[in-house]
Amino acid sequence: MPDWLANVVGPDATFWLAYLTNGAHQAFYASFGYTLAAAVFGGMFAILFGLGGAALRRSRFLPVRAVGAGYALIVRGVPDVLFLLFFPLAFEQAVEWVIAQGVCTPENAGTGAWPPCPDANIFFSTGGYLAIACVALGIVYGAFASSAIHGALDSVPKGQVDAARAFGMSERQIFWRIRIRQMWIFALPGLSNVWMLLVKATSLLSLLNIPDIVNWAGRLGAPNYFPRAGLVHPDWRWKYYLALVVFYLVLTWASERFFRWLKRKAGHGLIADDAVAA
Amino acid sequence: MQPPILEIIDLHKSFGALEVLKGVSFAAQPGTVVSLIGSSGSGKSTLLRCINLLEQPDRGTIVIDGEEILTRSADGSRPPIDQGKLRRVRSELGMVFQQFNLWSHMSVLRNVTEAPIHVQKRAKAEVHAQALALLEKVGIADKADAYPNQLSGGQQQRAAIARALCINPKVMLFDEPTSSLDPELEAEVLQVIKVLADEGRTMLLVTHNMKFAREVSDRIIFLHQGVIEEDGPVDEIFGNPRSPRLRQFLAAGGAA
Repeated sequence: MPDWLANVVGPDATFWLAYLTNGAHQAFYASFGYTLAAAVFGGMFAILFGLGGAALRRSRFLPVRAVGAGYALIVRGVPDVLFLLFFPLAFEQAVEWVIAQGVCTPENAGTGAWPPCPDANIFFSTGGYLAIACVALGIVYGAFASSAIHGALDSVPKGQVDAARAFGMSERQIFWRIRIRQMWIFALPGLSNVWMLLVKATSLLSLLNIPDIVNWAGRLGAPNYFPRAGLVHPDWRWKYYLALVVFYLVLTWASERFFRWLKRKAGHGLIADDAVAA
Repeated sequence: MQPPILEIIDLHKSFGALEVLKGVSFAAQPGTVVSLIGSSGSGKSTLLRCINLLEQPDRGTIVIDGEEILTRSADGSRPPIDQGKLRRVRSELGMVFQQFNLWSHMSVLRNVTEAPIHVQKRAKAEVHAQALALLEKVGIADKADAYPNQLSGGQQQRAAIARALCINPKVMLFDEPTSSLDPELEAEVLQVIKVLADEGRTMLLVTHNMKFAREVSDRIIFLHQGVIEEDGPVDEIFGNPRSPRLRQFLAAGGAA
């Protein structure tokens, strides 16, 4: 900080400014990126799994339909915390099992613990865990999204499907050019709810040892003692958590604005223009 | 006499136990306007929907411009319908629905250009020019960029007629095109259909409007309880109805 600014704001403010921009705090600020990335990519996976699940549920073949319905039924019934703990571990051990089939022999076998031999042991980086977490979030919230999408696909008036058939469109064209295009406006309320839930679930990243905002807030908020400055602050965790509360409120507020904009954009021709403006 | 452009032979259709069409046969010559009349439930709309296979007939043959699109023998066996052929034939029939059924997420112009570009795979520039000309013709050129829900019912139906014309159909099928319109809006749609009739288009028209049927048709088919009760030139049907049921229908229908 330049001296003239330090003179203006005084020594206390100078100290806090320096403190709040130190290395640990900068890591804290950067960790908001993990949360946002998990929300955005988790949301994308949720849409993909949702579309896939809805498509399965519309299949002509009963076993395929059953898979789609089972996915929605089972995953929706599992607490997200539990699934987020279960899925990365199961995934990691599955990968290790596959590797073990190739590299483990009786000679290099370990002590009987997992993995079967040391060579099959793998470690994921933070980025790797983040990617797995995004997929896990996508699977959980994709089950909710698939219900919203499945219902919305049937909201297209039958007459318009008739018209599409009468004009020679194939079933595939009807799905992609008519149903999917109109589906969004009907699915949006449901999908925006799913998005809100997903955004909130990003606070669970710390369960996977990802140094996310919740993790950092806990560490930085703890009573802080610097040898040079003495006790910097007592237990301030509530202040840090409060900052996160504000962050999530801002995020959901912005999301709501975004969905309103999206509704207007997707709603051309489907909802009356004055209803959008209201 | 020219070969018929549309020929229906012994068409049967049931919905569950209810037999709606009990063996209907007729042929339409190119350039003629044929109106199907009859009371509600007589099978008029079902017949029209069977022709482009929106409903699967149980039995019968449909021939369009010499091409058989559906044959089913009396024993119920049927050769599989080739999907590609079905789509091609459908895109030769321009269908206009009672409820318009415009695609609500597309502008009027895109409604008109959708099938020519994506089903018939025609060149975009050519289709656009034709679509704009057709919208001009039906009197809603200024609504090309509007969405269907911004139009009146009459305008929507005129857009739907332009959409059907743009695929250059061999036969136009109208399924009660004005039944969900106010008299005022009905007039503007009938005006458009009249112009098409005068151009010598082949049209099959299901209607409740006897006055209009009389005005535009070359021939009238009276359907009663799933069978053709009477079939003849306009003057004969309206001037000299033979079947007592038709006489009763015309008297009750207030035909002019």
